Formats: sequence, C-alpha cells, structure tokens
Amino acid sequence: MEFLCNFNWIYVHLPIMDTVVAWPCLVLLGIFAGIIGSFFGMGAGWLIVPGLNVLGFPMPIAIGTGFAHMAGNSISSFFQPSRFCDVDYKLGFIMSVGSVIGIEIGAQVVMRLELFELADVSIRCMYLIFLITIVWMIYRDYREIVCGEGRELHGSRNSRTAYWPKVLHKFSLAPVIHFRTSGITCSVWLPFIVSVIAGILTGLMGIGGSILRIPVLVYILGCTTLVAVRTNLITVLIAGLYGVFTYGIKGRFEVEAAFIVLVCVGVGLKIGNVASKYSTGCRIRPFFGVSVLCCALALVFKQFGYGMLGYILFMVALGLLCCFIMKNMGAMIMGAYRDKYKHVE
Amino acid sequence: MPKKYTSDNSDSHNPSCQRTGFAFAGSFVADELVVVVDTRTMTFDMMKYLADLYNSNIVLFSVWAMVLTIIVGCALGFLMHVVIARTKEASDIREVIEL
Repeated sequence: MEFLCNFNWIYVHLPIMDTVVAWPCLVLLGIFAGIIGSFFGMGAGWLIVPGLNVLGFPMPIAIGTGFAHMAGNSISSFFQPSRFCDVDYKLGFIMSVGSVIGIEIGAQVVMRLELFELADVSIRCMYLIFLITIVWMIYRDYREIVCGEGRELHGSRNSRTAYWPKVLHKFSLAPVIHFRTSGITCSVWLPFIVSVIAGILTGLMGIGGSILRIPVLVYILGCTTLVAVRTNLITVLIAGLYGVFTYGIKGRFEVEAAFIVLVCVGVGLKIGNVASKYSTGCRIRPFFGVSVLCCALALVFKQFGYGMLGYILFMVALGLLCCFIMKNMGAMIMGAYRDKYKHVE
Repeated sequence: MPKKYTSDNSDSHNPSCQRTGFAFAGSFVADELVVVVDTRTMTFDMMKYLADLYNSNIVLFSVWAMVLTIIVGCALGFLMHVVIARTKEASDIREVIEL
C-alpha cells in the first residue's frame, strides 16, 4: 500500500542527464506519436524529438534517443516477409552510404551548435519551420479533397512526374548504373546526393528522411511507389543504426528512455496501422493540422521557458487526436464483431 | 576514452546546472567538457554496466546501444507480428470507411 501512496515508482532515473522523468510521460508520448505517425503515414520521429525536448531533454540527447525507435521499428517492419520483395538492394546500398555520410555531417553540425549553445534554439527553429510546412501541406491537401480544387493541379503534377525522371536521367556523370528492381538507369550520384541531403536532415533533426527520399525516388528517379517505400525502409534501418552509434559515441543517447520510447512507438505504430485499415483520414485532417500547430506552439512555449505548459499542450493535442482515431477504430471493431455474431445466430 | 560534453545549453552560467550531475571542467562556455555518469547510486546491474561503459569505453557503449536496439526491434517485430496476425480476421470484415 505504501508503494501506491509513494509516487516515486512513476519516475525513471536517466543517468546521462542525471535527472528523473515520469515514465508514463514517455509511454504516452511514444504511443501517441506512433498512432499518429502510422495513421497518417508520416512516421513518428518528427513528433518524438520535439516531444522529448518539451519534456526536458536537451535537443542533442532527444535526437540521439530518437534514433533508437527509428532503427528498432524499421527492424520490426521486416518481420513481414513480403517486405523483402521489391527491395532494390543496389539502390538501397548507395542510399544508405549517402545517408550515413549525411547523418555524420548533421551530427557534427549539432555538436558545433551545442558548443556555441545554439543547438536547442536553432533545432527548435528548424522544427518550427518543418511543422508549419506540414500544416500548410495538410491545409492544401484538405482544400483539394473537399473543394475539388485539385483536379487541375493533379494533372500538372502527373505531367511533372513524367517529366523530371526523363530530364534527370540525362545527367550521366559516371558511373551510370542500371537498377534492375527499380527498372531505372541513372548516375550513381543522383540517389547518392539526395541521400546525403536527407541524411543531413536526419542527423540535424532526428527525422527519418523518408519525407524527402520517397518523393525523390518516385517523382525524380522514377521508381514505383512500392520499390521506393521498401528500398527506403532498408535505408532508414541502416541510417537509424548509424544514428544510434554516432550519437552514442558522442554521449547523447539515453538508454532507458530510448527503449521505453522504442517499445511504445512500436505499439503505437501497429495500432495506427490497424486503425488506418478501418478508416482513412481525409475528414480528420483538419484536426491533424491543428494538433501539429499545437506541437509547434509547444516548442515556442518551451523556447520562452514555459516547458510544462508546452508539454501539456503537446500531449493534449496528440491525445485528443489519438482518442478520436481510437474511438472510430473501436466503433468499427465492435460493429464488425456484432455483425459476425449476428450472422452466426 | 573521456567523453566530451558541452554545457547544458541554457544553463551554462547558472549555478543550478550543478544538479545535472555533469562533471564540468572548463573555464568558459566554448570549452569542451568531460562528462561522467554517477554510478554510485545505481542498483540495477544492466544499467550500472552500461553507465560504467559510458564512463570508460564509449565505443563499446555505442555498440551495445546498437545491439540492444536490434534485439528490442526484433522482439517487438515478432510480438507485433503475432498480435497483428490475430487481429487480421477483424480487419478483413469491414471495408475502409471515411471518418
């Protein structure tokens, strides 16, 4: 009984920062980020790093700790044997090398920023720009879907999709390689440079880099979406593991927090994955946009010294969105079982 | 191999940064600082081992971090594969709906 009255058990000691954090906060952050990341197909890294930061982690440790879930969840994705099909290993290898180089550059930049005490503020600013860009994209997509304004846009986008691969494949700086699985022939430098740029983003901000790599693979290199997604998964796995290693060697990796977040994000990703099978998120997008805006606001609060307020705003925004997704999923599952048993009767 | 750590960004001039437990060794802000983890109060063997590694051999600590990530990722993947396989029946019943 004394155990329940004494609330010390909810705290976990993080030795590198030599501080204590309530583990339910990490658990909720991981699950919420996982559900939302998987449901909207954007991954969880872009929510985990700001979330850890508003929780009190310095940005370099938040980024280093965030790499664990990136690598761990890429590994867990490969437990579905079908994921090994359609992987272009040659392209994956080139992109992995580029990503590793990019991550190291990004990590070195973070270390230099930290040296001048600019890491937190500058990375928060980058996240702010990134989150506001996401809000703008959500708003634009929502308008296209609801108002039907995007028909012309889609047409021009398709023509651009066909145009850029043709133009860029003429860029024939040696060595030029034929990627058999992707069915494309291009200079090695093209995917390599893209991966380095995505890797720098990953090393700087702790996001997966898929947000840059997949569109480039599809729209610029001309891969099919399936090959792009599965090849990118290999790249994220290797990039994530290298991120863990390089941030570990720099002393910016909190082991306990990393594994709590890894497990919870994994659970959240699977819940989000199941939820996305029951429903699509077109009408929920405005709520998603507002939640992302709240995350950006939370970073602003953190920057001006209102960390607790920022954390509450961050978790309430994500929590409400998750509750909405789960409520719909729950209703669908209950309905499905009711139908099944009615059929049996 | 000593680890290098710069001061905790916002608190470097603040005496309260002592609570972080970092062993600061530098005269001014831009100096690189040596960090050690205080293992004296640790009771859980695995964490104590990792904290000792952090203090003494950071490369091995990083390798362990990678290996543990792979192990946890594999365990998670296996468990989730089993769970998802069981829920697949339910997900096949209903068609995708619009929220």
